[in-house]
Amino acid sequence: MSDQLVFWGLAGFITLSSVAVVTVRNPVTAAVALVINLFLLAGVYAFQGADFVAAIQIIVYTGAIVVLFLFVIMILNLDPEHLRSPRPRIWEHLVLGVVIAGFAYIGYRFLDSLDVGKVASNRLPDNTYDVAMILFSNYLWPFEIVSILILLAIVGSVAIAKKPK
Amino acid sequence: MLIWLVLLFPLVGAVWNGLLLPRHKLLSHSIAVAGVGLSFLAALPLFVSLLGEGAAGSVHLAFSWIQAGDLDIGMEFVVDRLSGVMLLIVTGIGSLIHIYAGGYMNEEKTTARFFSYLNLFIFMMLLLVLGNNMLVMFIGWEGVGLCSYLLIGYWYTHKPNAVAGMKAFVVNRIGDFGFLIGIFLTYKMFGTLSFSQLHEVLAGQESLSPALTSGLTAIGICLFIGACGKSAQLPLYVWLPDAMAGPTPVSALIHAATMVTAGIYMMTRLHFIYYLAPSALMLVAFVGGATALFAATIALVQNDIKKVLAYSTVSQLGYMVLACGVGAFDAGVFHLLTHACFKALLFLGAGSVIVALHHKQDMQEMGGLKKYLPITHAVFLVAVLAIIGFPGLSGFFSKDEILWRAFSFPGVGWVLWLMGLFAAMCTAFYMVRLLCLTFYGKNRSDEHTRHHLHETSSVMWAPLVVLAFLSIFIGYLGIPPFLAEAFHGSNLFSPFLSSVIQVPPAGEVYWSFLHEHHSEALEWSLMGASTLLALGSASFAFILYRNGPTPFLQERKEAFASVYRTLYNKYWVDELYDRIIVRPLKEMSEFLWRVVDLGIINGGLNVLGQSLMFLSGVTSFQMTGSLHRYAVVFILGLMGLVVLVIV
Amino acid sequence: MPIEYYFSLALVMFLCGVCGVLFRRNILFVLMSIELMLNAVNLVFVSGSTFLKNLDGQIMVFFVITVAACEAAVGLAMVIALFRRYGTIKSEFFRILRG
Repeated sequence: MSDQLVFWGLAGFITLSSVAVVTVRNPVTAAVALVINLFLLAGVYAFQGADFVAAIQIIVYTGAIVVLFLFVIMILNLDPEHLRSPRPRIWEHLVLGVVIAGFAYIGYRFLDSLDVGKVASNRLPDNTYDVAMILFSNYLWPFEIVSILILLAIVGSVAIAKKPK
Repeated sequence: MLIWLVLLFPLVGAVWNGLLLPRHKLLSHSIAVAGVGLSFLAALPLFVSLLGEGAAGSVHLAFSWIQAGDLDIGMEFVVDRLSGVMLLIVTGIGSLIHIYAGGYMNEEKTTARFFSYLNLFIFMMLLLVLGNNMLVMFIGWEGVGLCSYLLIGYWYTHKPNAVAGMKAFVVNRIGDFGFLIGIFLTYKMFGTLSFSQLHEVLAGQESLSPALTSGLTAIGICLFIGACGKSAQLPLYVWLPDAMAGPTPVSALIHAATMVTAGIYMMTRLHFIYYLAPSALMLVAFVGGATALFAATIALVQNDIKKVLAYSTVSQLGYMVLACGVGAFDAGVFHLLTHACFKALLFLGAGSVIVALHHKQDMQEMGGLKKYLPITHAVFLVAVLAIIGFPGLSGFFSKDEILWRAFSFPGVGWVLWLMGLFAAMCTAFYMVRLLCLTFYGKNRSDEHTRHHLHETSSVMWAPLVVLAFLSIFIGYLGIPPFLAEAFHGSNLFSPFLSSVIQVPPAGEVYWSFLHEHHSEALEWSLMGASTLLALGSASFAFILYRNGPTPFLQERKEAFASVYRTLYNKYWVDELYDRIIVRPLKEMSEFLWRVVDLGIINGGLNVLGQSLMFLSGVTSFQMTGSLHRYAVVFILGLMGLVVLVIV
Repeated sequence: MPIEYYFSLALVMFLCGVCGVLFRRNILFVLMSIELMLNAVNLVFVSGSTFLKNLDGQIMVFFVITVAACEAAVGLAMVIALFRRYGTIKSEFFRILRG
């Protein structure tokens, strides 16, 4: 019972905030909606027993990426004039309809064919320990490469965003 | 070991002079002379070792060159009596000419390039005569053609010289085409190009199948085409007179003594093929005889001193080819040897005259040079006597041997003998004419030239003296047997070579007449007849020309005007070639260029390009540049794909 | 909870992200929508890992988050550079690829 409650509560608010991210006009509002979305998602992860991932989600995604977004928004200092979207044209409505229909159809077909089964909430005692064991043995090589990727991203973004002399 | 030195010295000389280009004329001259001279010194012991016991000769492999499937060709060299003789001729006479050339080219600013080419030529010629397979010989063959081109066109800033060089090279190339076909045929028939192996195979046959004989005939003819090109026989002789545009030492070395003899050497080297292909040799004999006569008639009326000598060379080469054609390879090589001496002497003497007159070559402006150039005159006289076959000098013995062997060829021998006889008479005539117009009579040069007339430096006349000695005495190596008996001498040359040149067993039947014994009386009378006729012709010329061109001669010229014009214009052969070969080729090239290359190919490409541009213009409307639009299309497409997969 | 529920949730999030990319003109919003899509995928991974009792899914999420961080950093740097160059970040102005 409580599982259902937790799930549906989380799901509802996640949906709401997702829609909010793409519809509001003010970018700051959208960023905040994104924050809420990510937090709730972390909750879903924790609900499923993936503690480590949930923690990562909060620390990195919410705590760093969205903050980065906010920084950029504030640096750019856009004026409201800038933020006004033009009136959506006819074909945009059409595309919207097509996209929603397409996704619905895909979703329906796919989900229909799944084996029905419950998600066994396997809350193992030490998720972090288990994840770490696998990460540093099987996935050591991608781990290292990703660290180099981060380095590249740092250097790249600094190089791109620097003020030209 | 010595053989590598023989080959190495000229190459080093060529490279040194060619790459370092020393500015000092004496230095480049010395390097070049060393290149040839040291090679000659290294060749001497090699040759000595071939006398007596070492008659068999030796084969030396430098390195294995081509190994492709069944084809195995190495850089192989053979030192036997035949190549030994050629070796001495090339390096010995080559050395003398190199020494002479230092004096001749003295007016040039630098001579490094010249001597580099000369040494390179010697190297290539050595490759040719020492090679033990057809491919090494062909490398040398092409190489001497290249050096000939480089040296003829040495003063390339004067366009006719460059053109003459090109003509030499192109005509040679036509001959080389035949040579290559011959090489291919040989390989196809025998699977090897090595002279030793070919000799073994062919000498081991007892009798020949008709297929083999026709194959050998084909090979012989193809290779002979190459010889026609290189040794200036009909119809590929046209480059040699034009080649006189090069410096005179070049004419002496390349176009008298060595390169042009390559064809004769090649045929002698492959005697075992030619002896077994009599029909090919018949062709060879007649081409040789015809060339000898043809060129001799042209030489009768030429006014340029070098042109006379050029046609004389063609004619003498015809003799050598004729000798090969009747199976008398040893006589051919003997004449090659004597001709090298006196023809080189003639050319170098002419060179001395030209230098003394400050590069004037028209005999009509010469005359009476005997008192200005005494030494040159003396040696020149010796050479002229040698070439006309004055008894006792070298030319007498060698030419006479050829005429005799031609006559004793069964069947058509007498025709060849007559051709040779007439050619000898013409030779005597024009050589004495040349001598008279140049050295006797009154001097016809202008004041300025006469003022500067003096004998040439010792660098130039010393080699001439040596050559004169050779021209006198070298003939005694090859006294015909019947004479030898009479004078208690002996023929050294033929037996010397016969260890190398023998009729293969399969051809014994056909060539059995070579061993026939003829009456001495016949030999004496033939020799007497030809000598008398030649001397008579010479005296006739002397009487006519001893005072230079006289009004009497002018009248004779007008009386036979059409004959004179035909001879003077060399039977219009060059014009004929131009009309039927050169001009159609040019026009075809131009057609191909304008219509095919520019029109079709270029036009086609242009059409292609423009159609592509049109197409791209048609489809470029969808590249709006709007990323947004691209994203839309992208996602829609992706979705469509997924739906399609699921459906 | 049956796994379809989680997948449907992920689908909805993904759909919102797609619509954001398609219809918002402001590049910042586009980037945010991309993050939304990535998160939907993360959800799928985690659910799959829980359902299949295999921790590889969570490792994948780890990597996805890392890469998303790099991408966001670089993307935002480009936005700053674009804004500096063109004075606007409306996507209709970026037509350099035209033709």
